[in-house]
Amino acid sequence: MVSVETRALTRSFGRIQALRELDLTIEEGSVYALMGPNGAGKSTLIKLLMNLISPSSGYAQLLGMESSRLRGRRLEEIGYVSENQKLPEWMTVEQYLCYCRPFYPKWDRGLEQQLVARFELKPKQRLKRLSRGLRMKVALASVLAFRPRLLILDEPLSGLDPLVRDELLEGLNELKHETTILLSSHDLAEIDSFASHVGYLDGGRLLLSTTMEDLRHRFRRVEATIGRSVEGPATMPSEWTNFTSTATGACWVEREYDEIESVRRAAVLYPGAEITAKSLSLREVFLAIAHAERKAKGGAR
Amino acid sequence: MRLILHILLKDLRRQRLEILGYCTAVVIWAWREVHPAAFEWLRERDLLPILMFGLWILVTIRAIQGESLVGDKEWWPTRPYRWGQLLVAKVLLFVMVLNGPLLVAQLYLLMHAEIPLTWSLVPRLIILQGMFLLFATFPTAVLASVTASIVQWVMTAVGTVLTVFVFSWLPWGKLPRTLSGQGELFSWAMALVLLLSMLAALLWQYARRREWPARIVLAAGLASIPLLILFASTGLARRIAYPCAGSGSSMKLAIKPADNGVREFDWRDGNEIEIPVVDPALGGDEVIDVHGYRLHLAGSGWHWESVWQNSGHHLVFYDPAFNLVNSLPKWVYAKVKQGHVTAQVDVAWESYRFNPPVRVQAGAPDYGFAVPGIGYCRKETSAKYVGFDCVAPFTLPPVYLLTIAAEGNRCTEPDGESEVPVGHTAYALEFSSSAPAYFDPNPVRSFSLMASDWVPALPQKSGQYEYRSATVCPGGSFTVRTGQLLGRQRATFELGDIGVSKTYTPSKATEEGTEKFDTDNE
Repeated sequence: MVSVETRALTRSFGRIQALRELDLTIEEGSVYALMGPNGAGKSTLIKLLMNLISPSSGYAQLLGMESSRLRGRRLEEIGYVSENQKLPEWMTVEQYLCYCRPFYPKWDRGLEQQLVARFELKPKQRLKRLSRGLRMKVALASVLAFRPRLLILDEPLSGLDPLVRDELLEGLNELKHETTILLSSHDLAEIDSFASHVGYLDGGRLLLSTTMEDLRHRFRRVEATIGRSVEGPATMPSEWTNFTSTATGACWVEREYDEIESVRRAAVLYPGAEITAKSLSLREVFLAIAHAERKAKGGAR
Repeated sequence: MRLILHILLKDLRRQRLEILGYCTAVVIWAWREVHPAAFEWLRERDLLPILMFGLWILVTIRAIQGESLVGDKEWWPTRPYRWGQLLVAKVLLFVMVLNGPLLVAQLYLLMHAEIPLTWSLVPRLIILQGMFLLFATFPTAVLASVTASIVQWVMTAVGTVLTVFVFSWLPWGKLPRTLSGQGELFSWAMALVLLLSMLAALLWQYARRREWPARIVLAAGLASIPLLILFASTGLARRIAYPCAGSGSSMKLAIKPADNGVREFDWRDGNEIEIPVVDPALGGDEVIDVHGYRLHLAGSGWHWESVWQNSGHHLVFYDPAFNLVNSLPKWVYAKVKQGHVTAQVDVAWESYRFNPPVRVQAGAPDYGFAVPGIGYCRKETSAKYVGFDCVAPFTLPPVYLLTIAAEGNRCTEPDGESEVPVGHTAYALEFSSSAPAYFDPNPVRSFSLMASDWVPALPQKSGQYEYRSATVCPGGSFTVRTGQLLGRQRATFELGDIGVSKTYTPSKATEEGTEKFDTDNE
């Protein structure tokens, strides 16, 4: 079953197209990490999904309902936490959770208490006195406690110290088997072990949307070792990016790695070379995509 | 309902300090109303009503803006509010913490004024609270729903007031004059348009949180005011406000036979005529409030028509006459001087019918008495004055007539003169507009048992009796008649021919002199 679906979703701010005909599908139960550089359109997409802004064209659906109709009771199953989420400063942690409780029929008091304990929140402490990390923990506790079917997190880990990030991710891990999670983040390292799916957004376009497993399989660093430095081929294969000449040969990132075809193609271009392929970290994959995109844009110009 | 109370309790907790401040201000105000001598400096500067209203506004703004209708839209996905429930919670809060304390204070003031608290007061108390909710809380809340902070609210309110000032500077004087009925029509139309635009903006904000469409709706409501003023000055508005009487006219008008003439004065700055007219068929139960008139003069081959003029004349059985006063252009003035001019007048009026008279005994000297249909009086004695202190709950009737006759009031004034000279009767015809009373938080209205319309007219001796007023003697009696509005009408009356009869000698006031005209008809 599909939790999030967008079709030709477009949003313009004046002349600037923040999102361009975006098609995205997020299956139920997945943890979808939305990646991309600053200004890629991640927050715009999340705002569109949460009905905080309206699309210029196209549509988005969450849990089978159009996002433009997302309000009131329909939010009982959707949790949302954003980077700069404001909380009622005058309330204490306890008062805030107590205030949120009756609005959600599925609120789990036991889970709430567990989260308060896990996040080491002090119930009597006023929200205005909390650090940014603690405020994010309160916000996250208030959305996890009602066991949402869909959880949308906009840069929740940004600017937090590693310890707090770990604690928040542990909190999310508890629920990831019963909740679809969509989160946008710059933080590639944490997402690497957490997400089941990943999407890469740049310039308002979704350049990649796949499972982590597929991503790791498709993107490989290929090295051709020949004992001397070599030039790149006159016509670079379209699957190659980040080509670098080394002292002993060359290396590049293969974007559609195939154990037979990729090795055969490299052997043809560099006869006698020893061809090896290594897995990439998420960070390396996205740097490769970003470089390729920049290069393509430069070429287009 | 559970969620409504949940939101309400949250707001009560959040705003407890300003609510406490408001309640304290209401208590001090109520206490101050019944102790006029205390805290004189507070009364002189009207500080308490300002403080009360300021806190009223503060509570309203904070309650509405507490939910981030404008600005922080990310607040809303974290609150699965049903907007209707949220709005009801806010209305309940306002009724409970703003109207509630005021209602208690009003009951206290009514009790202190010795007005019996009967069930008949309940609808009026509810209406009064509803008016405060509609005309004070509602606009404040609407403005708060399209602004993000108190500073923004204040700036928008100041901007709105400035816009109204700009409207007032437009050359409205060039428009035809509007009669009070047209003014009332404008007020109702304006209230309706503004309330509808505010309701649309508020619902839009709560249901969809689209502040710009809501702001545009509000601005459109405000911008409609000049258009409504323009409309109110049109003949169509006059015809709507004053339907044509036709054969069912409650008023008849003719030249006043007793004067049998038209007086015309030649002023330095123009030519003004004064036509005495009378309603010869006015019944003893009727009162006519003349709102305005327009004079038509016609002669052989010419015709002239004045603009509509406002009038504040009241016709009642003991004084059914008034003067039509008009400035004429010089050429019309010259034509009138030549004589044989036919006059016609369009009149717009409001008519009332009196209820049967009720005779009231002004009680024993030391206790109060009821004035049926109006209120309650009690004897008030001071070093220089013995009279009655009279109060009414909420509003006075639209019209009432007091009749103080010599027979029932034999007391004398300190100078030895009779309060009501033998053979004379003093009348007081009072009109009251109910609307302003609703906006005074104090529900106790005062009225007096004084009358200054004398029948027959008092003899003037050195000006002593010229403006004399009579009051009811302690233990004396008087008659009261309340009345109700029948409606507004407009009709044209033929006054017949008018012409010059004789010339006056010049007066001190006018070097050019005055002339007198008479009518050839009747």
